[in-house]
Amino acid sequence: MSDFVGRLRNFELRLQRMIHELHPPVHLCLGQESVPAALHRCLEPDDWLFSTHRNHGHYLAKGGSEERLVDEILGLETGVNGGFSGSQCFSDEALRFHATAVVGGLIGVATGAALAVSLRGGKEIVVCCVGDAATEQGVFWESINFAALHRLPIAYVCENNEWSVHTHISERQARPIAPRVSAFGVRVCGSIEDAVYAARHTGAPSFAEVRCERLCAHVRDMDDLRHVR
Amino acid sequence: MISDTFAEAVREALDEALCDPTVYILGQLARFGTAGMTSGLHERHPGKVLTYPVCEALMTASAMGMSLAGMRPVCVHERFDFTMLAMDTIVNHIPVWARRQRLPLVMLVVVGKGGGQGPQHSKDFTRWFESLEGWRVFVPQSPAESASMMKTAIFGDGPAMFVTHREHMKKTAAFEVDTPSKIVLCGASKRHEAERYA
Repeated sequence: MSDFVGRLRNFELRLQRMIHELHPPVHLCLGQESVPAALHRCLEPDDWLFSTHRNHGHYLAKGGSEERLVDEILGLETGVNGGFSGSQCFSDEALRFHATAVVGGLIGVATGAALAVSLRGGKEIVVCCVGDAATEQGVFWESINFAALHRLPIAYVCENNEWSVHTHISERQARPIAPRVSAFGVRVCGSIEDAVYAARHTGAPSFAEVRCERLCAHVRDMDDLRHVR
Repeated sequence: MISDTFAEAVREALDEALCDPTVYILGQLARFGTAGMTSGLHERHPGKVLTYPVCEALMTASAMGMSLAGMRPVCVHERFDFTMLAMDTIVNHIPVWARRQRLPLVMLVVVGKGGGQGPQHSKDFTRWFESLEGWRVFVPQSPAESASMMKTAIFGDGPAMFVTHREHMKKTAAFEVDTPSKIVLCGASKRHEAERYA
């Protein structure tokens, strides 16, 4: 286990132990650490990272402070957004990190940031993390089309844990995700590192799907009904 | 001296603003004029008027993303009604981010007028957005006011909704905007077809 994954796992386990003291919805990424670990390895400080409700690992991967994140979750003024946002939709402007509690809510925003980078000839890239369910939103496909049309420097990373709260992907999607993305003209890569490399060195959009298993409840200590039929 | 019409005054304000390298116009048809407000701007500022596919959700969200990345986008919706396709960004995202950081962006919207524009091309949502935290709503009531308000909106620090009415585009003097307190179907259309609805 790498130092970063160990640190992240400990951070999330600490939150899980204190979950009853936390008021806001908290979505832990236990079991899904491979995504933040890859981002930690290959993102540069100037890169943009757009994230989801399950964002703690992404934030720490971008160089976020554990203390300011915990304080944000606790609603303290010393939190990254002064306690205004909580766990699931905070942002850190200085780190170019933005997360949202609305599934798919930042996909178009990330695409716009990539357009801005492209228009001014910037060297950085944008990484847009989504879950498997966010690919069911219309704006995901609007964004994939637009990024391909304008060759935007953005890597879409799909963290596929197969579950939208309690609902399995087989009840939600007719076909696998990656071939549909490929059909829009976006390069599908086998890993996050490859997708980031492709976006950085071709300036064109890329996509990577990572299979992972959520080893905790969807949120807080919610009953896990994933295997109830 | 011939006075500017409302549309010309808006166009001149946009023309001047586009000289700033961070200002861009986004729209499905902005290249083709938007009732005269964006006529000729594409030719005068190549690469600064961006054509979008028919995807209001992405267009509006991408304006927010451009703003996060240091731009000052002006996002054109040919009818106010069409902003409804982008409500997640307008309601759930832009106000939240604007509370936390600078987020300059303008939504330039048009309320339709008579001629059977009907229930999906002539609603005026001004009151909704005035009641939503995070948005500054501009409703200019003269050509001169439209120019000054547009510059204030573009070069401000936060999100701005700039509401224009198709029926006032050719006016050269001040006028009164009839903003209903309730959002009504065929709002502006009804004003022009009063006899039919009487």
